Amino acid sequence: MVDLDRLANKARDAAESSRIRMACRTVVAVTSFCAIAIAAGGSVVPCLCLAFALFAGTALLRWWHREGVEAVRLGLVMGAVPMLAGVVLPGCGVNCAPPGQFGEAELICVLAGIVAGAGLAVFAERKRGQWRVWFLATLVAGLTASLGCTTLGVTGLAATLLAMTVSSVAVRIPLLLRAS
Amino acid sequence: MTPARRRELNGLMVRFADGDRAAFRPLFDALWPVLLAVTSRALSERADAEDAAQRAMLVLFHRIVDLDRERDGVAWAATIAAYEVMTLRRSAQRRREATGNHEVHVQMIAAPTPGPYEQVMATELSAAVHAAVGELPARDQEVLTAMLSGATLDPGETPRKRRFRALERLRTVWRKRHG
Repeated sequence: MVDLDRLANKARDAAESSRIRMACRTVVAVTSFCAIAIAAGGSVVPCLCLAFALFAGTALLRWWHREGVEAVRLGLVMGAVPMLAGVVLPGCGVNCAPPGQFGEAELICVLAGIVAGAGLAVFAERKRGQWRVWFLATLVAGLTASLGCTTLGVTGLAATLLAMTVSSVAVRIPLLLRAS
Repeated sequence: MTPARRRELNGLMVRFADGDRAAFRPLFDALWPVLLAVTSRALSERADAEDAAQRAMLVLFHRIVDLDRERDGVAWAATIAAYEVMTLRRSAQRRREATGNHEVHVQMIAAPTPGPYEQVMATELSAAVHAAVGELPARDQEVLTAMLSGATLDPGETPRKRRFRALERLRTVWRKRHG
């Protein structure tokens, strides 16, 4: 005779361990982003701290719910746009402005942030649980972008994140109005 | 299973796969009879069927995060159960081969039985087995004769693998001769 309660507990454990394993797969993307940021000249300690925060956040979201999985996917892809901009620019000879000033590099990162924010709003619109996905994806994208923008300094980073959030909201409102 | 019940079960699977932990117990309770029915249809022993259903249940929950929402979850569950039945059968067959139960089986048939009908059947079966073995290469004949007589093989060889290959070839010859 099968002990169904015991089997149920084992099945629950199997499902949770499989969910945790699936959630932790995000380590591949986060490690790659972190390695790219450090290789491009980013400060090691802030990059590692940001990467750890990004990994913890994305793993938790992916473990929590399918909406979290979608938000992480969208956030990592869209956040990679300003992140790569921040990483590539110093390599192309576009130097950052002195602290507190706004130069060419910061401007390009802000433009990349605007593109990423618009992308977040448009793609989140197609997902189930749009609001939560959009909000969580924006957070993930912000953390991802921060990884590449550490070389820009606080001003550049704040401007990029602000541009991303504002453009995301700006694109989201007409989409919502059209839907209602 | 009614289409409504199937839809309900599919819905529970999707809910649980999406992260709704509250759907676990209803899903588990609904899935168990389905898996047991699939395994019971394929395995005559109740204990074997329950064993296969339990394994299928664990495999299913282990892979639930990979559930394809576009496809029928019940069919997926039945496929996992069928695969577990196959695995159970294969391991039982391997156990039989390892412990030489074929020999017991053949001996049981070939042993003198009280009825004349059984005696004739045993003789015919034994003759058919030996004729089929006679068609195999000398190396396989050696292995199978050793199996039937209970003798051990050379220690340098891998007996299980040799026996397995010889039996595979014997099966092919048997199928050719007797369908």
